[in-house]
This record gives sequence, C-alpha cells and structure tokens, in this order.
Amino acid sequence: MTMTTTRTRTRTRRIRMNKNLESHINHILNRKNGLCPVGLASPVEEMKLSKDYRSIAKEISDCGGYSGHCGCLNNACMMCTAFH
Amino acid sequence: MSFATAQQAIMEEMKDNRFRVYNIEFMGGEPLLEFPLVRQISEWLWSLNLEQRFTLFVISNGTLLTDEMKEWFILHQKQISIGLSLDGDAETQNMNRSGSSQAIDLNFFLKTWPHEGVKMTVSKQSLPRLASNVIYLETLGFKRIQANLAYMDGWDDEDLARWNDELEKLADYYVSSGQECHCSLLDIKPDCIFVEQAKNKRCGCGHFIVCVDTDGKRYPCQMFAPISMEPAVFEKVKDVDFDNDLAFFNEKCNKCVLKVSCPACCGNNLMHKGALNEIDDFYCRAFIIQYLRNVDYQLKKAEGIKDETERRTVISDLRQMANAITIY
Repeated sequence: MTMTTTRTRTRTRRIRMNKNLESHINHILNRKNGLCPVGLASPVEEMKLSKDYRSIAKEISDCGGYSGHCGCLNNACMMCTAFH
Repeated sequence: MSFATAQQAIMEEMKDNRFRVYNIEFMGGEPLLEFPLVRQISEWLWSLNLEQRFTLFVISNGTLLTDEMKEWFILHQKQISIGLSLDGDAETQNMNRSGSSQAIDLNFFLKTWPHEGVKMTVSKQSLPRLASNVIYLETLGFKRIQANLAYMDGWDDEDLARWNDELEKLADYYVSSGQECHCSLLDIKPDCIFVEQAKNKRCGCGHFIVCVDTDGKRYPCQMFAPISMEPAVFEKVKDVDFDNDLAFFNEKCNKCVLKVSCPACCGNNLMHKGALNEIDDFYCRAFIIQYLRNVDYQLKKAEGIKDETERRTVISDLRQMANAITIY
C-alpha cells in the first residue's frame, strides 16, 4: 500500500512598507492610550494631485460611500448601500 | 415574535415616506430557529402589491439548514438571501462558535448566493490567524468577506501589534499572489482623507436602521436591543434624538480626517465607554493602523499597473497622501 500526502503552503513574499506609513504605525503602537486624531501636515491646495479629490469626495460622502467598515450586520445599514 | 407583531412593525415602518427601499433583516440569536415564521413573513410580503421596494435578508450561523429549508431558499434565492457568519477555517469557526463548523454546508451558500459573501468576526482568540483565515475564505471562493474586530472587552496593546502584523501579511499575500481582494479590511479608500465635512454619527442607527425586538419594541439598531445591551444601559439614551448629529459629536474625532471612514459604533461606545460619542482608544488606534496598511497596500498594488503613465500618477498621488498624513 502506498500512502501519499500532499502539503500545500501558500508562500507570501514580505514586501517593505512605505517608511512614512511605517513610522506612523510605530507611533500608534507605542502610544499607550488616548484617541489619535489623524490630520494633514500639508494643505490639499499645496499637493500636486492628479484629481480633484475634494470634489470627488464630496459626491461620494453624501451617499455614505466611504463607510461600510463598521461591525454592523451585513447589509444592515442602508447608509452604506452605495458601498455594499 | 408573533406573525402579527412582525406584520404590524413592517407596515408601520413602511409608512415612513422618507424611504423608498426597505431592507428587512431577520436576526437573532439564530433566526432559522424560527424558519416557519421567516417563511410566513416572506411569503406574506411577496403576496402584497406594495409600492415600496424591499429586499429580505437573513443573518445566520448556517448550522440549522435542513433539506426542506434549502429547497425553499433555492426556490426564492433572488428574493431572499442568507448572510453567513463565518470567521475562517474549521478550527477558528469551532473556537469562536461552539464547535459548529461541521454543521455548515459551505457549498450551499457558495452556489445559492455566489455574490453574497460572509461576515467574519475577528475575536481576540482568532486574531493570530486573521490573515490565514481571510486567505482560506478567498480560496473557498467567497466574493465578499466583511470582516471586523469583535466588540468585546479584553483587547490590549499586544493585540494591536498582532493586528498590524496580520494586516501586513494579508496585504503582502494579495500583492504577491495577484489575488483580487474581496476583504473589507483592505478596501478603505485612501482618499477619504479629503472629505471636508463628515457626519459625527458613523452609521444609520436610529435613522436608516430600526431594530424591532420580539415584543415589538423599537431600538435604534441591534446593538441597543436587549440581545446586545443591558436595558438599564439603553435607558440612558432612550430619549436621545438619533437624527441629531450633534449628539454624537466628539472634539478629538472632529479634527480627524479619517472620520468619514471610521467604523466607531455608538452602541459599542455606550456599552464600553458609557457615552454614544466616546470611542474606545483601542478601536481608534486599530482603525488608524488599518487605514495606514490600506494606503501601503494600494501603493504596492500600484507598482503592478501596466500602463506607465497611470502607474506613475497613482503612485504619486498615494505617496503624497502617505506623506501628508500626520497623527495629532
């Protein structure tokens, strides 16, 4: 009798993180308590972006399109219908 | 709940002319314990010639489906769907949900509602297997994996570090494998930081949602109902106008550019911090880490865009967002 076993392993390559983002994460991990509001260090007007994200954001946010990450029951909140 | 109570509640809510579409969800406990009632309510609604559009949804642990129930759901699969609570592989599901994995017919869900997806709750115990569980659900073929940290006591700084590690593993998996991401943990829009005015209340509780308990009593959502919250706790807010956004104002959150995407649950806030607008700082920090991991994931994914102009543009925008972020 021959027994064969197969073992599948998902190999994932570890990819280095953006330094700025990594530094923020370390900051959050080291902060022991309190809320950590996030801000923008440079005004949007000074950023050289390819799109007018502010206008796009205004349209999406009105229908709750940025939401959908709450712990609510799936489909429970119609505010997120645009997202769901 | 009696059929009469359900009928009255649905008809009452449908009189509200602010809404044109209704999503009626059966929840518990485990709603399939009352399958005959679910069927009765559904068939009654379908027999009416209602002006209002509605959808029917059941959130279930999937363990009670009999052949008879399956037959009925298949017959009505376009009119009613089941959202399965599935936290990952068999070991995780057994750990989180009382050894129940063997009772779930995963193929039934995948075949009957291929686009419905699953609700994955990440507990303290299952957090160390977060990435492998999401990968498992992806390999099964679920097209939507709605995942979130459980609302529970006991989270600590070690869990935060673990959360960060698992999100990193998950993002690297998607980038390395080229697998399309169906998991909500990595679909936060990085440009949410450009929203200028976001509501203080993060969801539709008390406005877009009403939870009707078995006795017909109404609650702003299921988090405030006795199944989740001690009645004495809800008493503190029962007279709050949930349509008044100012009732959910928090000074620190007000200056946060992630406000529009922040998943802070006011029901959870009330239970753990004693106020609708007081957010537990563990969930705050966890979400920021999640957002930062999202931006990083999008940057790594953008490296794979074939069109050079588009690749440079997307990467440039994302790098600027990454550089602009500051933590107060």
